[in-house]
Amino acid sequence: MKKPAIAVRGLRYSYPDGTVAVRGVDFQLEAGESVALLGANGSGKTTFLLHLAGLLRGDGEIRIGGVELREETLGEIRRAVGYVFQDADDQLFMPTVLEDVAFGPLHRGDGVEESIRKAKEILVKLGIGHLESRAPYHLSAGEKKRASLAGVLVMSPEVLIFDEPTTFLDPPGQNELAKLLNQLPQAKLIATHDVYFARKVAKRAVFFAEGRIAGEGPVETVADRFHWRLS
Amino acid sequence: MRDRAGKSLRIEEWARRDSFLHRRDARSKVLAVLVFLVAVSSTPPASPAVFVPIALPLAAGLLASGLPLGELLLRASIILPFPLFFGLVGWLENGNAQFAGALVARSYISALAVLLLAGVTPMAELFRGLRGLGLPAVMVMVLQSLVRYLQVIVDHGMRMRRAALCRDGGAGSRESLWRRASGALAVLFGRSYARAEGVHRAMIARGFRGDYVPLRPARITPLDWVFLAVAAMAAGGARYLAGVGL
Repeated sequence: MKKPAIAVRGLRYSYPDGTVAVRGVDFQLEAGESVALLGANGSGKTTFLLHLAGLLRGDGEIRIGGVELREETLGEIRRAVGYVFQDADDQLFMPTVLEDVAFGPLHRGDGVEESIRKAKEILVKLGIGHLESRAPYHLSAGEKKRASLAGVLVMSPEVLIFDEPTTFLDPPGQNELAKLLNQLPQAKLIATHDVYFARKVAKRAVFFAEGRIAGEGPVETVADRFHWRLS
Repeated sequence: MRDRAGKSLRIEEWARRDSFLHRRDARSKVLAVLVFLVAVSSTPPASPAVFVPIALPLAAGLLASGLPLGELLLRASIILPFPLFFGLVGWLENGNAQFAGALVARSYISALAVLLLAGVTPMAELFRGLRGLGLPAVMVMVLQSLVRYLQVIVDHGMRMRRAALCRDGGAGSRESLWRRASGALAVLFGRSYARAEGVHRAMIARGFRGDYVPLRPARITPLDWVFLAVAAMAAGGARYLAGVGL
């Protein structure tokens, strides 16, 4: 039997100022499954996601593809988890798009030629091959989102985590992103406020409230139960 | 509002143009500018006129770059308030007008040389060149992040200014303007800090362990060496002429 892409048991986390952000979360994401993470601002969604990439360390157990997240396995976990940040400006920090996308493979030790080849290949695949020599801050919001996604996909992660992927995207951009996500074979965990988008990219939804999972089930059911749509 | 953000983008647009100088390896250009700056700074401040021969190689570079001369001269003048202030203080204290004039001339010529370098070298090439010249990788990375996030911070600042203008229409006393500006600066600092944290997380998530690996090392050609030698000789010759008072 295939191991779950993500398995979390009893995760708890408090920020240094004492704010309790995650209060004992149990969660499982199967290989190849897409799950939408719904919930109000400040409900602990982003804090939870940051734990999955080992960017925050709380109490509890996290396993990615069966590998337990510990100090010794951090490198392995980060190679397996691709994290697409809410604000693409956080993610695009190199002088050109090509250099930015190649950053991951290069720092993983893939070598210069191989990193460039992979970066170019993924840029073409995402339809932004013509932007490779552009500076990231000259791009439109949609282009930035694609470039940041390219920087993650180039690492061929087993799990993809998206924090509010539709932020700054116009409706056509959101449609394109949904189409793109549906083509990706990886397990995906997508934090979003947009039920329409959630329905397009996931079958199951998990609702976060006050640092806990308050409910889960089919996207429509969860949205109805928690009154999570525009009235 | 748009103009200020546009100014830095304009330099990047210049850097993507094509000319003999644009095609030179970044390392040869950085070294040529360094030699030139040494010549400028070591010229004795006998009078502002001694800087005329020093400015000749720079003038040649400006012409060879094909960049808009008027705009370059105007942009370099942005640094003038500082040497003018310190020159004036020196003049009032020591009565030495020559020193004040030399300070202004030196500063302006140096700024123009650095602006020319930025105008003929894309930032990515410049960083690669600095790395190729042996600057520690971490320092290049810091410089790179600085330039990158300067854009983001300027953008943040512009948005905050726009929001403030929308809410008070630009009205208010000078005093309230200063108060508001200092408050906005504090907020901008806080946001920049949050941004830096976000970037750091993104870097770690993508495998960064503290050692920056450059994508493409710079390649220097024989023509770049010739350019460097000619530029260094021109700077040295100009410095000699300035020294003997021609």
